[in-house]
Amino acid sequence: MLAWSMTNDSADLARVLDEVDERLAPLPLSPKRKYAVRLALDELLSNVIHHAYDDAAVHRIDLQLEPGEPFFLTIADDGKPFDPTADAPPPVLDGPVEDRPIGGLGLHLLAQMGMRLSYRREAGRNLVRVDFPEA
Amino acid sequence: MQLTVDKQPQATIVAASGKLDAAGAPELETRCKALIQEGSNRLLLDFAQVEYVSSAGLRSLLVLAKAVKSAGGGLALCGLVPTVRDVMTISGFDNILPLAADRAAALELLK
Repeated sequence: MLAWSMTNDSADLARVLDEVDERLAPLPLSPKRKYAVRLALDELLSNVIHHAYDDAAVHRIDLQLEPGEPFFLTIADDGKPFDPTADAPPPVLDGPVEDRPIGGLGLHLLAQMGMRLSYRREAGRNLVRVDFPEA
Repeated sequence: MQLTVDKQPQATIVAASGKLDAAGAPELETRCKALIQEGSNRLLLDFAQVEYVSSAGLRSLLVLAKAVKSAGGGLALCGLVPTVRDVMTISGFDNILPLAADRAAALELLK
């Protein structure tokens, strides 16, 4: 199990995403799976950074990645309760370009790529687990 | 994100390199919006060196597609690597943004 900690800051997210890439680089994973890991972390952690906190304090976010079988990752944050499996607005993709709303795409992308999200609230923290599809 | 601009008679070609994510997307969006303001309403984005696109990147592409459309022009992408192409098709963006194999094919689409 690989683990990282970060703060609710976009620059720290960029650092962690690059560290994850480096740790995964030597592992025998498909380009598709490496891409999926970065995308899942990027989308979910960006949501946490931008929407989970009403204060200006520094908050710690913990990540774990199990690069075996099953292949999954978990994210734990102490932000407002948010269930990404239930509370996300559905994206609107149909219709002409100028009528499409901007945003609401991240969670849709993860689902469409075959990732399964599960959520629970425990001891004041949001715990999100992402299970990846077969490589 | 590194951007190289090449103004051709048929279209303005923007070759991008790097990650089109929350950091890279505003760079592409700002640069292309400036080009549209300068009169380049046909944009060809060469994504051969783009290794990653997140929803922030898709959002910017949508903004640019709308901007060229209201300027009476068009936007096309070419050279996508397989993982990026997957994201474009999975998100349904291939229905609003023409994806071409290479620059020549993309220029045909922008005619």
